[in-house]
Amino acid sequence: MRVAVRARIVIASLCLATAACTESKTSDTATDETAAAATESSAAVETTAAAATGDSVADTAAAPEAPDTTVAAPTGEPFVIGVVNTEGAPGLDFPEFTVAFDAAANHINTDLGGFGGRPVQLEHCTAKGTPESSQACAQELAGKGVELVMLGLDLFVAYPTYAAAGIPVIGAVPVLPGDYTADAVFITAGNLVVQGATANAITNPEYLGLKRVAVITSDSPSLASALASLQPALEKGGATVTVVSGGQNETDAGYLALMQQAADSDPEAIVSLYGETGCVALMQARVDLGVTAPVFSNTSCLGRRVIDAAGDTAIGWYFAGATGVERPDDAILRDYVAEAGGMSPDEVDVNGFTTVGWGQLLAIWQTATDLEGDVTGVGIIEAFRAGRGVQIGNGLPAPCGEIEAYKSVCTFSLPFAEYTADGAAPAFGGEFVSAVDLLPT
Amino acid sequence: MTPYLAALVAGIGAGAVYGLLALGVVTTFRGSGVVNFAHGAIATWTAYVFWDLRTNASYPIPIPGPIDRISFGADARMTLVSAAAIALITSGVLGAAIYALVFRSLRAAPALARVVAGVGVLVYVQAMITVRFDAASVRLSAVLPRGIVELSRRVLLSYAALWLTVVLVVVALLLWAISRYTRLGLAIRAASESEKGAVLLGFAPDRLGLWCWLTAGLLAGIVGVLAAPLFELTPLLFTELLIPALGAALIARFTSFGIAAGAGLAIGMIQSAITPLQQDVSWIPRTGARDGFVFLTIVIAMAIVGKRLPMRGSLGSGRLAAVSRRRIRPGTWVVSVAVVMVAFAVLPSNWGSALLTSVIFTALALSLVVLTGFAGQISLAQSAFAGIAGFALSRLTSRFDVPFPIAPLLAASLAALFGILVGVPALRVRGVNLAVVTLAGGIAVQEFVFKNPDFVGDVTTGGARVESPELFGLDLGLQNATDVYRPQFGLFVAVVVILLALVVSNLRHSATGRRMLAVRSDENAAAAIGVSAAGTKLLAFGLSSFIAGIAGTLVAYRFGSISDASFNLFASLTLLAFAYLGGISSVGGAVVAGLLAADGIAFEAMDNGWDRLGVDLGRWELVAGAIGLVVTAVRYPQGIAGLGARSRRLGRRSSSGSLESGPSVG
Repeated sequence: MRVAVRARIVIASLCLATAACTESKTSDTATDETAAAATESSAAVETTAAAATGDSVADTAAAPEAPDTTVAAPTGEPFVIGVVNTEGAPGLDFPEFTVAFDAAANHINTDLGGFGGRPVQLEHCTAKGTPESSQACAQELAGKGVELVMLGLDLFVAYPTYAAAGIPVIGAVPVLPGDYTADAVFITAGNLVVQGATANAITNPEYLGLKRVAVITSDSPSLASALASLQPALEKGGATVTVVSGGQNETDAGYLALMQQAADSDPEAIVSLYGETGCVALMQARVDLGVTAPVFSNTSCLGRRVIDAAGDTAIGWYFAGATGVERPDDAILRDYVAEAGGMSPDEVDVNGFTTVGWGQLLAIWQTATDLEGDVTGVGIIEAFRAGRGVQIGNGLPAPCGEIEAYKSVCTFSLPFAEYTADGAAPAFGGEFVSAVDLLPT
Repeated sequence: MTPYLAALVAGIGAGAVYGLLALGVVTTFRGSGVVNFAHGAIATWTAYVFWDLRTNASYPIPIPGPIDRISFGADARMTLVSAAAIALITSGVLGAAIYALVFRSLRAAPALARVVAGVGVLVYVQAMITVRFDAASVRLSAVLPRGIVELSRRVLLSYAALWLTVVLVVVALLLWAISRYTRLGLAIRAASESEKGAVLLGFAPDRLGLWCWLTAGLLAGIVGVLAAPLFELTPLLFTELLIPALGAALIARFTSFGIAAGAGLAIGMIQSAITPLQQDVSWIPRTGARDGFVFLTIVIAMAIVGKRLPMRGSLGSGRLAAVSRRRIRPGTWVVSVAVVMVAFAVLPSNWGSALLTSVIFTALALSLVVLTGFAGQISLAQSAFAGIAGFALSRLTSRFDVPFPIAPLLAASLAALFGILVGVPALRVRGVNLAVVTLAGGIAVQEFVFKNPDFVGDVTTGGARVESPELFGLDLGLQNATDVYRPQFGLFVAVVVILLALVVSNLRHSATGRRMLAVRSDENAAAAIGVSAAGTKLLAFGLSSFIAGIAGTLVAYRFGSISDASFNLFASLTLLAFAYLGGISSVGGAVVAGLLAADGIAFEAMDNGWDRLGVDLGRWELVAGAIGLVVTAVRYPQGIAGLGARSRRLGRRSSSGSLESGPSVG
């Protein structure tokens, strides 16, 4: 039952192969840290392979990266990638993706030689969490003739439009059920995988083995979708589930009431589907009410702003998708994201969607770099489908389409972090928790 | 019982916020007869100012310009008291400035002009929040004490909620006492009932209005500083929370501070209690019940007690935009049709999409030409009517396989039915009160219908999908398996909207149109000559909703699937504002509104123009649009189309020496 994909982190794909040919733009400290890194891509790949067999997230997190000063600057016609991301909608605001994409594009153009020697150019379109806005973005990007479309978080991807225009789609996070069988590739875990892995971590005796679960959610479309994935998975794992639903804008007192109603069912574990907005208040409410059951959430609740505000009230929370360790390439990420986002490197949050967005474009770049001949959007997505793409964060081959029922998905397991008195740490010994056994059949 | 008691108590905090916001709304209404839709935005701006002062020791400037903020030094730290004081002064001054610059000159303007100006101010403040704070969501450190009071083992009340309630009660008592026992308060009460009387007694309504807006601004500031830390502060936070607060103000008939405070508190508590109720009662909708219940109650209550809502006796009569008697020449129609058809056929897809937006928005604006321009009724539910038709079309085409064009006609007829239902309160309330009642009706529809999977489909499978229109085997859809932009759809949309324009144009000259104009001009006079005001109003609501419904089906066909976001309150507010900006009493005005619509032709042209000049107007575009809206509402109630007509009349007058005046009704 338990798929213990041994922690195979980091050094990884991102900078890995990148490592082979990087003229680092990082700070002195970062450069020093990576001074001993390998300088050829083959070495990087070996490093990845070594990472893949590591025992834990922590074991592999310290692996070095490899800068290289020999890469030529990209020239010629830009390789245009359309970007669709959801921002500015109540409860659906993910600007971290946009900043991370811009940062990664700068990194690729400055240090990595672009896409097939061409500078990468991003054409952004903002969706508003509605089918209409997603469709409008698809039409706009099709009109601009982009090479491929990269999704940050897009709830209602207009697949027929992209298909009609012959534009391949590579997404970060599949959200709705239709995404899992769509004509696209998603290189990270989405709702179904996140919730399946969460359910597995809670109910599987090899992890926590808890069987009474309360779920705190709101009636927004995205959370309704998450709940639709989570509840069956928990029940398949043998848990009894109580659902407590609140509004999209709750006061601290409102969150207190939701936690209280959840606690009334005497749960052994609680899952909060609220995003960053509700994390701080729910963490505080759990402490105020003396609830001891562990709470599961996603990586957005481990964001810097949340932890700064919540402090030790976060102890006892688990975060799906977070590793709980600082990765070697985070220094590069911090520099570029800081530049793109107009902040200082220390302010960059490496736990939220920033890492996902950054890693996504670099994973696409890595896959493109391995292509033979001209780099095209179609070529990149075909490489992913053929198993020649790489996963975010661990540099391993992405098993896209491994499960027929979820043919567009490339990730079926993910790490968890746990917040302790010493801060965030890898949970379950750093093992990746699989969602496979609890996915709907 | 305990879970319900616990939930009711848990809702006190939100209720206190609604109550405080409602007190601000009542204060501005009593002082100037304006329902301030920007009140929540002022609270949000103040909260961001407070956050900026505390976090960065800098003060953001609310006026467009090269200096975005004043910094008190890189190492400076602002104390809580200093930051709160500056934030409160800011909100008070902002309230007073909005009155002095915008609403003072609209005291004698039609209610519609005040509503539109209010929308303009709302958009301006929201746009400035986006510009200055990058649309960031932030978490403020707590101002009120943390912790909980244990009323019983299961019934807990947070200190913050308790303190907010104390503040609410104190403020309500203070406002009541001022209103009851001070000379200023008595003067404001007098002016709210009869400005003429107040003037005769020696009071200056302008000064009274200024005081009220200053006070309301301070109230918004109090909410921003005290309540924002209880939430995640986002640009739309208090604008969204203003909606239930408007409900509380409406229950208080925009006059009673005590009822407004109590109603706000009650709404918050009832909303909270709906959560356990949803678990116990299976038929209560899982989505939308929290807000929908409140607003449905308000609409029903207003339909019953509506006549008791106060109308402000102002010094001016407030004339609506004149309705032109001029018929559109056949040649003009032919040329217009040809231009639009050719444009759809030859324009590249990005321009074609912009033109689609403009043409469909024209149809929506035409619905307001009938209802507001001809019949004089204000509606903030037009988008809801469009949405009803859009969602109905989805059901008809995807579940029942009803073919085109029967499906869109049936869907629009359903919208007309809803329009008549929402229009029932119009028989009893008028002006700005009608605007708020229709707003409540629109929200009730949005919450109960648009968010209910039983009606609109499962959002997890992509929401409400709509099949492409097909006539005699001819595919009229926007895209197919190989083409993402097909001009055929543009031609189809153009034909439909031109037909609607013809209907509206001919309506103006028909007996029905004349009855509508008579009702708009003076209901009593119309009744005296045998015109049924009630029947005419309901007919106007029905016809207008039908047109909005047709536009809703075009929106649905365009995107292939739809959601409630396209038909929410802000869509209705934007529609009214742009329809007014274009010219709400003529077909030409609706066309101008369509051209100006967001993402329409004018926006595309501006974007391209600025791009060519290497200028990224970006977020300033919205600020500029808002300023244009306010200026138009204040200076040119005829709208842009009316300006053209006025210029032509002046030109003729200067050449012939005589004045030809259109029938100005209002």
